[in-house]
Amino acid sequence: MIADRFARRRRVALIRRCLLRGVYCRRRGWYAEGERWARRADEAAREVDLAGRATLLVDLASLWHALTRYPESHACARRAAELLTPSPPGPGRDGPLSDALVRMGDVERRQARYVPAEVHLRHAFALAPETDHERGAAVRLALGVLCKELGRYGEAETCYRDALTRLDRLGGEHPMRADALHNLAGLAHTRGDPGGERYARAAIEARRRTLGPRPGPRHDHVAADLAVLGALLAGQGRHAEAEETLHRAMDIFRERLGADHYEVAVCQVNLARLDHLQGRAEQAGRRYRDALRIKRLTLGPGHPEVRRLSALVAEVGDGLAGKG
Amino acid sequence: MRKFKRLSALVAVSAVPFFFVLMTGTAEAIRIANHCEPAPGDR
Repeated sequence: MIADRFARRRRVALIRRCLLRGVYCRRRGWYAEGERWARRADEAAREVDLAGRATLLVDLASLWHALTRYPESHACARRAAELLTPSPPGPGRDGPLSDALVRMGDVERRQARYVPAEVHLRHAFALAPETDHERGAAVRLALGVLCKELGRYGEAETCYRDALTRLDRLGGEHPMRADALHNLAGLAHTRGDPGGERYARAAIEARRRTLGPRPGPRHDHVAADLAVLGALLAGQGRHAEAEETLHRAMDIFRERLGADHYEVAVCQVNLARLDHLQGRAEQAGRRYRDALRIKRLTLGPGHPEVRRLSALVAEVGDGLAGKG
Repeated sequence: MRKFKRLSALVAVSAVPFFFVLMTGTAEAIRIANHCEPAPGDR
């Protein structure tokens, strides 16, 4: 009995050490190393009963999410939610359970599983304490992105603005503030509102202030903000500026996340459209096909984004064949 | 002397994550952000 308790304690300490190293590597932009530590923590977490230590699983889900390993993040968050749900309600349970549900909902939204995503995010919304501005902002950002993808733009805007208000109440420069500005810029892009540019530029500035000197401007979060700015500039017909910005973003993504990452595919689609608008049909076709290959790899063949892009690639291919 | 230097470098390298842990903990903030692509009709 005592030996079991001792073994459990050692296992929990191992998980914590691996998590610490993983988080450290992630923040420095060392993805491969961060993933190695996350995998070790994950293996150790499978071998031990984590009842009463579910927050470790929430932290591991967050690390996997930050490493853009979404299925692994979902599995950890789900296990944490299963451990936390039977506990009596209270601040010790509701906060971590809300975090677990946000991670589950966000991953489900990325996988186009919108119904469970909304159920989990609404549950998280109800659990997040009114006075906990950080958690409240995270839930609202996740709900806002879901609403945007479902075409409920007014609701998405309310969520983003509420999140921003809560983060402003926290004072200082919270890293999530840049996400809220980024999302407002993205929403403006979808609505065709040129005013989004100021949000995108504010997001880049806010991000630079919150990130450390390394990797600093080469961080993939900065690249994501540049990608939104590039898309907005493209929407305004400022093609040269948009291309330069999107190439900068894509170079950082390739360097940090690898050539076959989803973020690279998003940049390729935006660049392909610019090629298409400027009469470079073959180059556009190449980019669309590369984006489709990556999206199939990262999202799976049944994802709506893959189906839409497949149809577009077929259309572009037919256009080229018609010209030839 | 060389051994001592190597050992102290190793200690310093291993200590970095522990100091980092003491300062920040293991809770990593996640980035919840949308992506922008042209609408299907724009192409």
